[in-house]
Amino acid sequence: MMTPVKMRKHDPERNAAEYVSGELGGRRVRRWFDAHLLECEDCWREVLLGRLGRRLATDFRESAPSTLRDRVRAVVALESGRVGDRPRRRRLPRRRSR
Amino acid sequence: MTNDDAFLRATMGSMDLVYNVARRLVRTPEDVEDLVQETYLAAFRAWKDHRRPDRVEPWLVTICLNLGRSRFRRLAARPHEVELSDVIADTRSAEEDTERDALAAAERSDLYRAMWALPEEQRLAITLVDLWDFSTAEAATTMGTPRGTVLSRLHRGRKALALLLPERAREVNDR
Repeated sequence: MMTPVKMRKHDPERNAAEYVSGELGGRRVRRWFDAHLLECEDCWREVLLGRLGRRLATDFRESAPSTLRDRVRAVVALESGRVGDRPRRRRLPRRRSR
Repeated sequence: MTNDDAFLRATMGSMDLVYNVARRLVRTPEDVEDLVQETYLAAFRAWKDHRRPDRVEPWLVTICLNLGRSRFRRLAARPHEVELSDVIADTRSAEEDTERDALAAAERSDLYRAMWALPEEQRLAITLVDLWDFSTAEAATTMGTPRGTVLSRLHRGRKALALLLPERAREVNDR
């Protein structure tokens, strides 16, 4: 079995960032890091703050105003040259002169 | 289907993402809307020239970042001018202005101020990874930086938010 030191370089910031983002290596590395957190105050503090910050940040997702959607649609239509185009009239057949 | 229909169909679902990125780049609601509009216009011009992306979201974000950095950097460097009214601005009508909404807006305002206290690169890393579930590798490609740099910005930004908002952090922790 690999020793904790070999499993992962002791970099609390980077390890916490990956751990909180769910990107910390495979299952084996995550298990090692879970165990490491119980004994390393530095890493535990980084993970705790990282988790809190992430949860705060996710509260800050906003929706674009509907007026902006309309504005973008209008600008794209204008750019495509479709605004102002009139549908072509069908030509009527000529009347036969009698 | 016309060119613009196909473009709108492919990209309009990403507007919230582009809007959130623009919100982290420029401050006033007018500048944010201008930046989103410019982004879509530039993207549509590329689309018409058959420069179509494999994945729409990172493509739009890259365009938005490039435009935001080049054209709006001067505006973003202006002194801090965030008003509560900016935050609750245009999406809410007067009828919705209940006490609860006002409190929620005030809380969001704290968060908004804290977010703006972070360096731009940290705001963007948080927006892409924490709000829109980009992987750190995708965020790195989109932002044009190594993944390690994104991880560092992400973590420092998260930590700063937690430390800037200790009350909120405590509430979140108790949930």
